[in-house]
Amino acid sequence: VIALLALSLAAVPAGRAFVVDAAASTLRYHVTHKLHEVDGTSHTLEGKAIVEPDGRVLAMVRAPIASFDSGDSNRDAHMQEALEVSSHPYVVLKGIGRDPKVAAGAASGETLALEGELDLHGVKRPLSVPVQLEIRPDGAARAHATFDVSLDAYRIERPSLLFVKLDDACRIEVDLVLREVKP
Amino acid sequence: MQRPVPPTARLLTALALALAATAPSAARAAPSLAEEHLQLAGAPALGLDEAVIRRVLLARAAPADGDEDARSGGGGKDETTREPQGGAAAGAGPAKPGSLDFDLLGEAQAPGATPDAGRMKLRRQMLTGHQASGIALLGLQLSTTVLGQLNYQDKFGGSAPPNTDQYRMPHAVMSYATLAAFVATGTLALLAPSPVKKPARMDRVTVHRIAMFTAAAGMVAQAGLGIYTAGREGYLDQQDTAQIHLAIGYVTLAAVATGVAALAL
Repeated sequence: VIALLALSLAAVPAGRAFVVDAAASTLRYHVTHKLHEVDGTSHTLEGKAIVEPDGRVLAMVRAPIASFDSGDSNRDAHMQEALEVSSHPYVVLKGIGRDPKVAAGAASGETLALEGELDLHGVKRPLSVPVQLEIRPDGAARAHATFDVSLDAYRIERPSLLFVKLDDACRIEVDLVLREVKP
Repeated sequence: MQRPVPPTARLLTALALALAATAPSAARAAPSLAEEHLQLAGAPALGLDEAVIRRVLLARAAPADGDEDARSGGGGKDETTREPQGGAAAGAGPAKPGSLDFDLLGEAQAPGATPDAGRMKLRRQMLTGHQASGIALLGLQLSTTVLGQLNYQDKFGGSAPPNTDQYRMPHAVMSYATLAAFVATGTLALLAPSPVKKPARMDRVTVHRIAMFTAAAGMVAQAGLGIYTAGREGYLDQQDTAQIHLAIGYVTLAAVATGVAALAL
């Protein structure tokens, strides 16, 4: 009976799970002001991806707003003010995609179309993100995506410097190294 | 008193469980591995046996519904808002197939001491005023320096007619206005609350502060030296002190300009 049960269970494809290697991954924003451009980077992120046997991919990444570093502590504090970090301490990106090649482990060079949403400043908005996948020699997967969001759409009061506001467009770049969780 | 379960019944139960595991409905029922992670997000990865058993239980508890590709959480919706999360625990239940209502990470760690929103707002208001006052200060400082140069040339430049005294009063008025603007600007910055902890390092604001402390020293020196120079009327050393006053004026102007540029560029 036990053998029969084990055989039955083994017949169910289990899929694969990956976790983000935070130290090797980055989440970055890029905003533009008339006088200069600003990049803020976070390495304090956590994320997980599930690859189902049928090629469906579920992914989720989360980073504390306070972890973004632009190289200027005062500007980072200003960014936290604009994003009301005490009320909305995290930015969360999650999405679903489907690619049978991903499930088959032959995803290097593939672009996975991820349909998802970005939760920023307490506002969730849908977005479509093409994610470039690459399998590294050490077996880890690298996922890279870049997309633009509107600060106004997320109800973020755009910070100003010398009474000139930031541009509305904010580019977000996700560069993740994912390591498979072995059962 | 409970009746003992016959071995045959236990065998049938195990077989039923095994069949349920391989049934198409079980495979379609839910994101399987995803649900495993939904339920135990934050916990160590499950062994496959446990994962599959969980899948069986989930499949039995919540049969499949609808098209997997239909997005119930995004698609047609422009946006949704939510309550302050404090922990991003939203959607910590089993997800519908295709839905974005899943949470692979579980509840987020409660952030450390979050800055007080009221103090952050007050800080922003004060620093906005600081910016306005600072720009006005730069204009006043520039005007004062130009008038000081003209006053010096009028008095000691040797051009005819000499010493008309036409710039003395405008220079004095602008000097006091500059000093007042400097005190107001500095006060706004120094009294602004700092609810966000910031690591000390060399950045634009540090350059700004160094420049403005230099300017502050220059302002104090200028006030004293200006009054002293004016009081040396008729003495031979008045031109010397006036030259020093003029030089410090340029240094102070440069410091203020550097302080503004450090933030702007």
